[in-house]
Amino acid sequence: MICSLIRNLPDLYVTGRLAAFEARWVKSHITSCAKCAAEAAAWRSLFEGLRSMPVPPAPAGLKAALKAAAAAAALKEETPEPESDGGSLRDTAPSLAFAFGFAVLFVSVSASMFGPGVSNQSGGADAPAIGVSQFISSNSVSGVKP
Amino acid sequence: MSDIDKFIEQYGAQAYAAAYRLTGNEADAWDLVQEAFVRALEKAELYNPAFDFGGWLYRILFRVYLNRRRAHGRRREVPLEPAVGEDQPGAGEPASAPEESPAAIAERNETRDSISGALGRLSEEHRACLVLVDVEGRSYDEAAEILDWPVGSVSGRVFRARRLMREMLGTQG
Repeated sequence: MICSLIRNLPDLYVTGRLAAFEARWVKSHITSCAKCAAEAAAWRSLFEGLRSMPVPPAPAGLKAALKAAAAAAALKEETPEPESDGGSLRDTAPSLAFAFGFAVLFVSVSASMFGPGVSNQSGGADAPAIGVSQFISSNSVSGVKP
Repeated sequence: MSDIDKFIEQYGAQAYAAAYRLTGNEADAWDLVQEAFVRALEKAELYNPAFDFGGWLYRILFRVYLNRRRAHGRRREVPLEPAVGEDQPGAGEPASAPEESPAAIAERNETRDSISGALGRLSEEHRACLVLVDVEGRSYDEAAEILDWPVGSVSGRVFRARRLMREMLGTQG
C-alpha cells in the first residue's frame, strides 16, 4: 500500500528534492521495505553514474578554431553585402502579389453582388416572372381555396 | 587580448564539456560549440554585460542544440564514445579509491558505459533536461531558464527521462 504511494518519490528523495516531511516519510519506509530500499539504491546508482560520466578535455585546436570563427564572423558583419540586380524586385514582389490578389478578390466579390445572380427554377433568367397570386393558385391543393 | 578571446579562453572548455554531454561525440561537440560562439557573437548587441556571459552562452548552446536536432529530424544520437584514455584502468573521473578491486573498476566502467548509451538514446529534449538537472546538478528553475521552457515542462521531462533511463538500463522497479 505505502509502496504504491511512494512509487514516484524515491528519485526525488535521492536527489534531495522532497519536502522535509515527505523525505522523512520515505526514509522511514525504506528502512523497513526491502523493495523500496532497492529502488532507492537503483536510483542512487543511476545518479552517481550520470554525475561521473567522463568528458574528454577540449581538443587542443578548439580555442584557436573558435577565435578564427569569431574573426570570420566579425569580418562578415563588417563587410556590406553587395546588392544583387533583382534585389529591389524581390523586395517589392510580396506587396505586388498581395495587391494583385486583393484586386482579383474585389472584382469577383463585386461581380457576385451586382451580377445576374442564380436563375429561378421555372426556366432560367429569361423566363417571365410569376406573380404571387398566380404562384398560389398554381400550387394550391384541390378543394382548398386560396 | 580582445574580449572575445578572453571569453573563448574562459568559457571554451566549459561549453565544450556541455556540448559533449549533449551530442555524445567529439566532432559534433566541436561543431556545436563553434556554432554557439558564432551565434553569440552575431547576437552580441542583445548581450547585457551586467549578466554572466557563460550563462548566456550556455543558453545559446542548448537552443542551438535543440534547434539543430529538430532540423535533422528525430535521428537517434549515437552513444557517447569512450573518452580519450578512458579504457585505461583508473582513467576518467572520479578517481577510483585506492583499495578498489579490478573487478569493481570493470563493473563501474561497464555501468558508466551503459548509462552513456542509454543517455544517447533519449530524445533531444529529454537529454537536454537530464544533462542540466542530473548530470550538471542544476535546479529545475535554472534548467528552465537555460532552455526557455516553463519549469513544469522541465520537471515533467526530467521525470520521464529518468524512467526511460531506468527502462533502458533494465533496472526499472
